[in-house]
Amino acid sequence: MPLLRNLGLAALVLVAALGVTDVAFLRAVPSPPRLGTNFSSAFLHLEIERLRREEPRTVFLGDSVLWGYALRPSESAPALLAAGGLRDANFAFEGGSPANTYAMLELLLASGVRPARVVFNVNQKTFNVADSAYATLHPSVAPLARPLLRPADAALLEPGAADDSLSAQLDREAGALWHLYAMRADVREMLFGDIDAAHALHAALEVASGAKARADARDAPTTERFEGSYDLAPLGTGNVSVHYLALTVAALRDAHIPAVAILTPTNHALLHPYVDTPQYAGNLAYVRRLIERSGARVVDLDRAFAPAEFLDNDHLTAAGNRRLARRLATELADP
Amino acid sequence: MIDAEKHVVPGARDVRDVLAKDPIVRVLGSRLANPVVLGLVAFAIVLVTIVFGPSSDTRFIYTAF
Repeated sequence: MPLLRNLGLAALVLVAALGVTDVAFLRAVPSPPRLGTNFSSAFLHLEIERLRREEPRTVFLGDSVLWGYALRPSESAPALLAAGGLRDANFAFEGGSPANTYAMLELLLASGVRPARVVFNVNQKTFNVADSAYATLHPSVAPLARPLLRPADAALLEPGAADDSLSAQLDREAGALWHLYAMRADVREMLFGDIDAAHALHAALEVASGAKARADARDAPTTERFEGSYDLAPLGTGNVSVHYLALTVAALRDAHIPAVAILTPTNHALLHPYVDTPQYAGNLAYVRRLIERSGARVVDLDRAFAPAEFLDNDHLTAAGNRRLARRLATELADP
Repeated sequence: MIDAEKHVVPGARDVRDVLAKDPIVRVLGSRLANPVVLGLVAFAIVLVTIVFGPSSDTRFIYTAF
């Protein structure tokens, strides 16, 4: 019996220590300039709650271009605008698409967030049925946003992978009670700057050994790599991304939220055979008309950047992001 | 070559006696017999697992145990 009593006491000490840590963690967890590469639903919920309690801000939505792919968080255009005095919040994320933009917008509005303005990017490649984010919600956005979608809209999306295994159920239960556990992926990224300590160590070793520089040189983007990334078939209402883009601009109009849609910078020099065609121009014009019909403003940056300002087909370098921030600062200052 | 005769614990009748007289086992045993210390050790193990765990730990069991 003393053994059982001692084990029971030890379990109580463990639970009490975890409880105290969890309360302290929730108070201390910082709000980074953008969501992580591997952000959790719990962290997204926390960030939305913080945004709800603050004065209205300009909210950025969209994909990895606005998120700041391959750059430090402080180098992304929204972070540079914030450093310049704009009160903003970057809710763009890697793997974004019109469906994800709408899901995030619905989540923000349903949570009571009232953005002063929404700035979102529209990337032509995400209208391609073959794009990985075309009809798929981000796994950390889906659990929060999918229940908010009308059944007819949700039916257009890939069904989420339902995992009812004991492990998944325990994971959900533990995550609901224990914030640190639910946000472990976010904690690791904040601490190590990578998805976990092992990846951070591996990345540091690759940089030190020169392996990363060799891999970057070997994997430099070539035109052929993007064959099939842009669908040149004429866009129409049957396209899931068009459907969700229309829902997004309608929701913004109905909520009386000023909206600015950025037609994503595209590296025409690299993608010349696929995008310098009448079909691509026609699809771009279609998207532009769709947005403008709802009263949102369009900032067309499709051809606004030089090849040297791109990392690949659409992601901008640090210098490219600086110029994007300057351009957006001018656009956003214009009422 | 180990001389077994030299490693005989005087008075030990079995392996439990040997462990009971081992200084490391005695110190650890006395510390972990304290439920507060045992609970804090478990807490430290959980924290280290959460912070340094692999990104692939999407399964509850994998992380916690």
